[in-house]
Amino acid sequence: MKTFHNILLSSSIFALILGCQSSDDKPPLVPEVEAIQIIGYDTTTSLYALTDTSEDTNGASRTAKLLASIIYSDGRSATTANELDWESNNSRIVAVSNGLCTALANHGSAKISASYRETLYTKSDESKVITIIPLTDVNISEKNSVLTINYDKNGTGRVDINDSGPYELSTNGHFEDNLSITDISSNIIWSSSNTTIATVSSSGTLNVALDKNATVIIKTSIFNEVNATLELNITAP
Amino acid sequence: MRVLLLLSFLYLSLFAEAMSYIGLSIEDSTEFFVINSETQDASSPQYKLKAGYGDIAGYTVEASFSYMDYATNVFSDNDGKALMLDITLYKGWDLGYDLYPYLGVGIGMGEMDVERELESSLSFSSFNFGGGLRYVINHTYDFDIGLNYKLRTWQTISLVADKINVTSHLLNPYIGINVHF
Repeated sequence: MKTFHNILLSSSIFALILGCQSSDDKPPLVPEVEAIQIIGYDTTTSLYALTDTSEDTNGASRTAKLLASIIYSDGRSATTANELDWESNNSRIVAVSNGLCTALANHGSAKISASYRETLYTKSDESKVITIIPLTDVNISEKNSVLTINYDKNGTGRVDINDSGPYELSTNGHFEDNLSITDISSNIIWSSSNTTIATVSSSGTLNVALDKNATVIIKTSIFNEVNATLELNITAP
Repeated sequence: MRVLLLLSFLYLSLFAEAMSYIGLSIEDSTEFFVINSETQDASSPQYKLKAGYGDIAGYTVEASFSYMDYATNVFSDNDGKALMLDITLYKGWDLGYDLYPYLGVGIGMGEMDVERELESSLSFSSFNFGGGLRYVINHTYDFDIGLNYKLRTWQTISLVADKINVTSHLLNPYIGINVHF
């Protein structure tokens, strides 16, 4: 019985200790995510009106790669792009995926924002505006200087052809900000007014059938906007 | 046939010694967190409702349901209530004088409310072991005192560009009473 009383005494002391709880005014040990801020560019970022997002030979970037800084409550920050859900407010103008922006039109702008799990969002004043730099002029040339292309004052090229080719056509782009980019052929869609006589492959290879004298119009377009015209005056042998 | 009957009698004889019990205990849960070389401890009372089956001088299996209110700021400015379920296997011995020391090992799981931007609760699992002493007051009641250690692994916490894995170490001294039937 004495043992039992001792145990009860110990229990009472233990219960008294339980009543004295610790309190802690320190900030949470695990930091909290406080904000998502898009970084890496100024508030407004420009993007050339091209579909090919690879680097240009001139060194001009054809892409806008956005990153986000995650701000924590303990003052630290970390950078990411792929963890976030990116959104363009004008998805017909600019598409964005994992922070990589690509142009979908020759003109316009779009506001880009990022979010995480539909819970954390960039503040509206911290979104980035991506503005397309329009392609204003495309100049078609022949790589091997076999053909002589003459341009009129309207920018339409004309060339006389009396050989079936093939000919390697090249396109140089001139943008609204006066930047010229050499060979934007991978962005160009070629079309022919008479594909039974003249065809141009996606890489710009022109093949001509010399069955009869004919005039064929070759056009280039980006984002459904025609930006160059080449008139082929074909002379049969 | 005779062997089967013999085994059946042997099996039933084990049940003759076994008893079921339910009990209540109050614990002081002192938990040590270590995250990114920073440490913090949290101390809160914990209340446990338990049910067991077995021989307290042999093996006992116990399931327990615990409640505690963290009232700390380890994961958020206001960490909240936690509910836990533990399964423990005990081995006890009869020392005489109605005293039954025991050791136990088990596993547990639970969930705690937090007020974070990305999580409203955090789940955790634990590995438990400990020991204690039962004093059998009479055929129906025993008094229980002991100490448990728990290694607790918390749900990975997302920091968007980073993740934090949290483990904690708990010490739970406790007292309780069990009712046998």
